[in-house]
Amino acid sequence: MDPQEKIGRFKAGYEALRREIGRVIVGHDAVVESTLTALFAGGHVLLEGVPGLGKTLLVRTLGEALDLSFNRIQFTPDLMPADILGTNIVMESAAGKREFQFQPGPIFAHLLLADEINRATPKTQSALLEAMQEHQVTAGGQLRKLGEPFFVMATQNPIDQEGTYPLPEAQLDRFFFKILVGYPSGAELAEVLARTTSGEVQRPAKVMDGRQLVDLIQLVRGVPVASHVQDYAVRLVMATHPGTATAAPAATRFLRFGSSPRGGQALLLAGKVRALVQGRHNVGYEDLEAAVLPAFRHRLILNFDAEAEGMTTDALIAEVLRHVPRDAAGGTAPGL
Amino acid sequence: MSDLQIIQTALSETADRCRWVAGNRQLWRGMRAGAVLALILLLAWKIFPFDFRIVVAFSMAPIAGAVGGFLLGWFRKPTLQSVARWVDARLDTRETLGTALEWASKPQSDPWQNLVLADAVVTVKAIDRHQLLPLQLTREARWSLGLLVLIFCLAWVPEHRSALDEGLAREERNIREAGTQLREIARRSLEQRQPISPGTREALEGMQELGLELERKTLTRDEALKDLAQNRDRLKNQVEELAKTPMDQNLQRAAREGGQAGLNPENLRSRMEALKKSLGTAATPEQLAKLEKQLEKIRDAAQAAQNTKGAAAATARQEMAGALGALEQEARDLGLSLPQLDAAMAALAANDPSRMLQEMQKALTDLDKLRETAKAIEQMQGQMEQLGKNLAEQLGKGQMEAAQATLRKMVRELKGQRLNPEQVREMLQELEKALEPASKYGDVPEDLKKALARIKAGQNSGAGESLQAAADKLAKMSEQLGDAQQMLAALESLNQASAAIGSGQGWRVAKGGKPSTDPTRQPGGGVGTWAADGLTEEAEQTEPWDNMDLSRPGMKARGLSDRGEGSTPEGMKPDRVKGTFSPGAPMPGITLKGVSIRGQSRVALQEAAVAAQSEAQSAVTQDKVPQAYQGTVRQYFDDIKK
Repeated sequence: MDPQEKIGRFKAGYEALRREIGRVIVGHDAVVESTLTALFAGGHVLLEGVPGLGKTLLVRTLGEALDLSFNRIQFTPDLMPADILGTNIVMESAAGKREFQFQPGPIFAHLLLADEINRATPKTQSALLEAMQEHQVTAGGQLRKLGEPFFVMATQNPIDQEGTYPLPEAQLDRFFFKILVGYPSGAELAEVLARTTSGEVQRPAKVMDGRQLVDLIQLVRGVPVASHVQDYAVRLVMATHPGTATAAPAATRFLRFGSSPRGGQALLLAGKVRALVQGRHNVGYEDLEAAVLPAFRHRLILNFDAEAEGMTTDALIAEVLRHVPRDAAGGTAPGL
Repeated sequence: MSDLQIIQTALSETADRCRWVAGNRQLWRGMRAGAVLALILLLAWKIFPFDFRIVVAFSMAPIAGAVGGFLLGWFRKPTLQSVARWVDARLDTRETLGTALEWASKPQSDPWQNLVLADAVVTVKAIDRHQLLPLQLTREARWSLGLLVLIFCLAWVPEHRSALDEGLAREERNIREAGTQLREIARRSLEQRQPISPGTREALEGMQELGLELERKTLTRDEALKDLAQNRDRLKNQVEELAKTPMDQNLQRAAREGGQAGLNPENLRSRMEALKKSLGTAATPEQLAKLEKQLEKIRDAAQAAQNTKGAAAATARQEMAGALGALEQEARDLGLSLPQLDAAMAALAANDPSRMLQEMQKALTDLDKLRETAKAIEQMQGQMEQLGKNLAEQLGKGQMEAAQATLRKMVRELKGQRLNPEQVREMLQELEKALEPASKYGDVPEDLKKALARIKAGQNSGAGESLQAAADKLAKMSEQLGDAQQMLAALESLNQASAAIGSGQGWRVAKGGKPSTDPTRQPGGGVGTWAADGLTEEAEQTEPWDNMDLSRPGMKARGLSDRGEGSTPEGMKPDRVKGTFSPGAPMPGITLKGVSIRGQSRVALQEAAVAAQSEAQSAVTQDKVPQAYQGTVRQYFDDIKK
């Protein structure tokens, strides 16, 4: 198929998804756009926000708008890995013979909502590691492929510290984006109240199936990125590595660990999606800068100084952006 | 044209524009850097004295910086990729051009290539190069122009110089001036006459080199005096070498005075004939001076008559006409032709006083010239009279050229014709008389004796050869005398240079001229009829002069004639002196106060002696030593050096 046609279909699909989500979710444009960006880049999303802001609703709506299988797991401290992955249970066959049969867990779906993921123990959280990175699980000593596409949309509550288990770094790194869900504005809140207190229930229509989504994800990967733009992504990642020659001074001062290469991958893929969404055929510096906050904020581990001085990862990322110039050659006219 | 070509053409044109803009900007930056440098140097020069040529050289720095900057900016051609990236950044085209250029180099099968190229074509069509890269006066340009104005203004601010600095600068100027003079004197001397002796030539060339060194190098007074002293020693040695030739003291003295050794009767006669021909009259200078005075009186009367009117004016004109007529008659009697007088009379008759005055002025000028010529002829006649009448007199007076001419004449007579006994007798008498004065000329008497014997024996040709040998020896001595004259003149110049540098008063003052603040100023710069101080022109004096305007045959001229080293006046001779000098000696003993220093000297004795001699020379030239002791002081330090 001609790339121009594929791009047209991408834009149409994106717009349709956006529109259907908008029928249910009021406001949160940036959150919805970031979520869709991660979706078309083939990445998982961690949504963080106080209760009641519509995180779960957003993911559920997305599941409904896509013609994909959708499962939801409510993470609790007593949740076991087998509750997620599935387990072998003794079943009696039609012949009356008893045999072990694998009972798939809720992870066997295209779209998985891991609600309040930080309430489960690290052991249970780690059950997702293999599935998120390699789209497969190992259960009962047997490797089982998950269906494509496979997305994990997790939510977590930042205020409840009692009975929660912070996600380990390895787990966090596997999320493409970490999206902070903020409070709605007054107008948005009024609209939410109006919609949710009346008898009318909005249901999104299905606009895309799994195959179409996989095609569009493949399309995204083909968007051209110039070497100097890619170099900018590399320099941004390297500027977060504390103690190195390329590190930004703020990173050296306030970071314990910087971004992994997955951070750079996330930047480029998100940039590609953004370029296509905006009708361009190449990635620019601005596309990378737009993705740098959600792509880096969960990958940077602050040190004690940062905690003591109240430095946040978002503020630190802003410092890194200020430190790293877009073009390594500088901004003056050539020869001047 | 393909999409890629469109993009490349547009970017290439933008790159060219970038070069011009870069050239413009670097031009002003270079000028600013040069102007800062020039300003710093000018400021430094205003406060601290150093060679002004450095300031002049660096005053070109803004121009050099501008040219260098422009070339630096213009020659650096940017790559298309860098231009594309810069345009992307300036126009916020989301890296479309950079990506397109990079993707254009990928294989054609890439389906995205056409898409990004098409995007880039749209972008390049929107580029307005003149707006994107305007050629305008930058901030650097304003700075540069401001600095240049500041430099221009600062140039008019008088520089701060301490008395010490001014003294050093004056000293440096004196040294350079002395160097120039020495170099010129040596050059002229070598041009006018090539020395016979290689030593003399080397010494003069050494003096020329010394002049060049003093002129070009920056030397202190002590260093310059030391160099001069060394050179003077070398010249003295050379003169001493020349003095070893068998010549009488009187001859050497004649050589020092540049006297009559070079006088040749034939030359003098021919010059006199030429002058008489140009004069065209037998009038004496006195007669001409009388005419001149009469004409001046008539001119003064004519000037006075200009202010009178009526009958008085007519009477004055009549008197002037009469006086002019009488003067013209007098001139005609002397054989002079003065057409200006006729013209003046015609102007008087036409009542044109201004033309009459002009004609009279012309007549005065002509009379003045004629008088000078007549005077020169008279002087030559005096010189002719001074020339010896025969060989003996010529040899006795040291007139070697004349003696040579007489000898050669004798040789011609001996070889060319048969002499009668009377002539032979006269020649023998002349030669015999010349034997005694010829004893001052080395082997010349021997040749004369041989010639006498051969003439007596009737061997005229052999006698001619002997006389020719004597003439050749005299010619050689004459050349040596010429060398000695050159050396003595050079030595005098070196002494003058030492005096000029040592006294710190410059060449002119050391030479006897009046001090002047500006040696380049010319006469006529004063106010009214008065010239400015120090502007009297004095011709270079090369021989003894006599300003009494009296003819004194047989008397030495006054002025710069050699009066010897001088003797200590009786009243100044010490009678109670401590030390090793006996009373009556010109040099008193010197008692040094202070601690004696023992140990090894780190300075070579010769250098110390030269330095001491320089200091002594400096002291002598600055009149720190009484005049009576000056000769002794010089001799003392010369002896130390030896």
